[in-house]
Amino acid sequence: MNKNIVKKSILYILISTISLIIIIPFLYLTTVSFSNTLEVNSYPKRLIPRFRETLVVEYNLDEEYYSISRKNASGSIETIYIVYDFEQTSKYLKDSLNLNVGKDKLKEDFLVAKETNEVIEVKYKKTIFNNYIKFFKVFSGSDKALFNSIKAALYTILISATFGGAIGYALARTKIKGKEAISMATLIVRMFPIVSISVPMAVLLIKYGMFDTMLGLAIIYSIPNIGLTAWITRSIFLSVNKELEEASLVFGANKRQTFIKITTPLVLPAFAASSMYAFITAWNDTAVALLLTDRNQTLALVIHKSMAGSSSSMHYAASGAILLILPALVFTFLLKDYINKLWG
Amino acid sequence: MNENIKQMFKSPYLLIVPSILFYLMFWFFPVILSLIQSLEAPTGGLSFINYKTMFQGSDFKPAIINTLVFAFVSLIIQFFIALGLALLINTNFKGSKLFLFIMLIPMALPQAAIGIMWNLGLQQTGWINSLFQKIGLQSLLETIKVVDGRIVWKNTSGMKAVFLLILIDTWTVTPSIMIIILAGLQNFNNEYKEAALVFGANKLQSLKDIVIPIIKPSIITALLLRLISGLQVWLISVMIFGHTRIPFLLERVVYYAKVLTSSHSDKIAVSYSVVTLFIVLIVVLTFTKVFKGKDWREE
Amino acid sequence: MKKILFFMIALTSLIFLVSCDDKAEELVIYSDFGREVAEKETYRVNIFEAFEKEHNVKIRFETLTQADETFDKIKTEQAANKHTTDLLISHFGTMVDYIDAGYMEDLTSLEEELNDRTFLDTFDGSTNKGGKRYFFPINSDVYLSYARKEAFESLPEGLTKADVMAGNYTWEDFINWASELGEGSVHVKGKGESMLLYEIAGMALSNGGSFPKMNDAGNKKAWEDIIAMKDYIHPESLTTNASDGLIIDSESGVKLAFELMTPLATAVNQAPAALEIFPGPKGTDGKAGSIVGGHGIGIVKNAPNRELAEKFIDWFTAPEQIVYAALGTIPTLKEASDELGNTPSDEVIRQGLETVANANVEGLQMISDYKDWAEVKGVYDKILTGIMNGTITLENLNEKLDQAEADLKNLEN
Repeated sequence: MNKNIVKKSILYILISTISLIIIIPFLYLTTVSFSNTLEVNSYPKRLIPRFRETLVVEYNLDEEYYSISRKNASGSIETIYIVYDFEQTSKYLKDSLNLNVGKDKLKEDFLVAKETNEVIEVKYKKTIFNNYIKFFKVFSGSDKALFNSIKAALYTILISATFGGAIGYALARTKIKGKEAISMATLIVRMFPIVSISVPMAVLLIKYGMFDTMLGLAIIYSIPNIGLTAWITRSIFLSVNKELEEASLVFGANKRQTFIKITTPLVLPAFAASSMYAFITAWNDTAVALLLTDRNQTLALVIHKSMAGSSSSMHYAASGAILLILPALVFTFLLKDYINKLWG
Repeated sequence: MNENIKQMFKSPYLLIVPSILFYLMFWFFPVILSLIQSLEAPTGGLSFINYKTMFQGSDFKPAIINTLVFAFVSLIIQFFIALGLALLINTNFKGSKLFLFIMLIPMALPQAAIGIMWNLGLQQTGWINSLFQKIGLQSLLETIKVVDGRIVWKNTSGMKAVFLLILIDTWTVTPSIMIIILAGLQNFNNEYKEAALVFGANKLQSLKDIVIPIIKPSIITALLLRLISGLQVWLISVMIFGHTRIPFLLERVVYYAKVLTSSHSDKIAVSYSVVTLFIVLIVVLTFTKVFKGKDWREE
Repeated sequence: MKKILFFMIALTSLIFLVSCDDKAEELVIYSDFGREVAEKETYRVNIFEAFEKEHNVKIRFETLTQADETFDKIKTEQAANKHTTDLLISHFGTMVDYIDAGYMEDLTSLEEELNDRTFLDTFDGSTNKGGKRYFFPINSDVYLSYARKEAFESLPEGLTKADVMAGNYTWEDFINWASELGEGSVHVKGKGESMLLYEIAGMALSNGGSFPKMNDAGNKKAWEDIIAMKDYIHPESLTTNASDGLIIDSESGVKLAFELMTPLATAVNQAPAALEIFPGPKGTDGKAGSIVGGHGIGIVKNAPNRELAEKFIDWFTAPEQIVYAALGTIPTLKEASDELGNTPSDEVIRQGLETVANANVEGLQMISDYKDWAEVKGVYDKILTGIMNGTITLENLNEKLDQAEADLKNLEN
């Protein structure tokens, strides 16, 4: 009995550790997407986002200006801004600290420092989605890009599943000749780096009139994925127990019924797994979309372009990345049940 | 006549032909074009000069070594972790569904997101060092004099850098191996396992002798696909270390094709692509020859 | 239940499979400038919105991560005769690729129409060819120096803050200051295939050296200075090409840098009260030195909206707009620089203009003289890597530089 409890606790400790290893980097990424510019360029980095900023305001009697200081991540207080003009200050606070405070409110709040000649602290709430809003404002068309990505992904899944599944089935169940050659061929296609032939491939597609279409993109995405689906489905079709099928035939079902009721549910996890790959290829690709689209861009492409910034503005890229990740996560969540389907 | 046409439609070859046409049009043709391009000498005519230049480059040997080390070491590490996790999830313990979902997260992340994530982490002021500081690991490492101040991850070079990349790659890629093995396990009839237990085999034996042979096709698929992808690693290295510092075969392809812009370097890029193709081909053929005979299903 | 959900998604998306394409009038600009989110916002709010309203058009402003991606994009378009891009903003160094390939329209007549303004002619070597104008210059940037305010508490003996702020200090002073500040206090633009050669060029030019050259006196001195600074160079210099992220982080250790105006202006915008800006150090030639770079705008060949594109250039390069277009660096219009104020960003531009006027400067018109500019960058990268890992020292520096010069000569056309 004791042994069981020990075993169970070890199991759960193991599970939790592994889960943490997966989640923590992702959490940091999310927090960066909610951070302002000064937080992104500070140390140590926060695991959980901060929702307000505390400004330390002091009035300098000699020079007659307010100075704004801030406690940075390691605890020391650092002067960051001298107030010459409240409108400019409001803009600065919005750009660098994600704080949305009007110039009149600033004037009012800062006045206390001048009147009492003391150092005061002023707390403001951050607009936590500032980076995301900026991203959408600056990258108009990101909503269209989202639909395009879904389109491309669906086309890819369709093409890969039909062509690939057909090959997988043929390799596993039929008596055609040249199986080895075909299996090898489907693999070879994955071997040659697409990158080096992307330009001739692109010009070819443009000549076929598939420039700037999601179908054209899906065709390129399907090239490695058909082979992948074929391989995965082949190995599943192979391992589906022939005896089960024979048993069902004995019990009166015909070939078609057997296929639908027995084989298909068993093979579904394989199709689920390959759809996952197909979706990911289409959803995450940038290089191919770059060359083959113009007005109809995919979301990954839009976000990739937003990442051309310097290291001091990674937080905008991070928010774009989170936007790109969310639908993929949803798809994964929906798919996991098929992968882990209980049999029996 | 009708009979013949009907026969043709019933032919299993119909399953294959569309794909063959597809590949001829959209893959084979550009590949041949590239191959021809790799044999073009700058002064016209065919020659092996591009390959000669490539072989003589100081980046050629490191690229091959780094690529092979990366592909094989990451394969071994990732395989065992993926197998363990797949078997674990397959026991359907309480919360395994949630755990599966968590394990799938890295697979859903786009390349660019992964690049941002790890770049933010590997900076000297990044979250990896921040985490070390928070959990006290930083002070521990400093006390035992392993490090002097915060670790500068991005300055690693040579094999150390390759291993760092293997670790990051493992984080990203292990789930994709796991789901293939898991898909295979779903069809694993528990009755087989129970039957073995009834007949006296212990847990580990049943694992080795029963489970693994049955899911062998899935394992082989997963390993092969992972090997092919591993041999084509480049983006993660470039996102973190930039070009040239840690060369890989495909990283050289992209470098010569995109970073250097002369037509001469384009040809070297294609030469690297062809070499990559051959290496992958050889590795795959060897792999399948070695494991082919043991596929019990095919008998 | 899940199946139904799945099906719904599929169906909804199927509806979008047949959705129509956007046919509104669009002006498409591809640019190697203005990649940052904040920069795009500046363009949108201060330049695009008014133009869009007036001409009832949508402006699509696209940036990619690297200049060669832009080139590939334009190349693919031109090769396949699918013309969608109207305007191109390119760095001076890459203009020659576009012009030589025949991808740009001749804008000489447009220049004659824009007779109310004077463009600085510093970049005619890049923007013009064969007597014809293909690009209008928008901005120019030079190298300045900046430091965190607290760094001035560690000035070496004999150097005052006033000296530094006036630019009356040398590379020796710079190195001594770095040694007072400690290890990892200086950032060098050491990322591979990026900007190292421009920083070294600035140092060499201040010593009377030329660019690109490896083994003349000016360049030798520059590399000797790097060796002298070796211990004070921040380790992440080898993987970053800009110091702005590091210098505004008080924990990073970086307190001083010789930096390009663009990232310098970014850093100053983010934490103005934490930094001081001053001219680059003087070299053995008695002056500061810097590479002058920048960008220009041109019309792509067979642009679908030629007339609108010309109107856009008129708007974009007008004195009021060009200041925003320059994104904190020097606007290349004589009329624009006549109107500078007192904000930290204006100070940056003012210092930039002074540097252009008083320092030894050099442009990038020689890029087309080399087979592959990226390989030229590589020659410089090799020397820095050697110095940082200890294989190149004062003993073998001259020999290595002679070798590098030979490599450089091989890369000439």
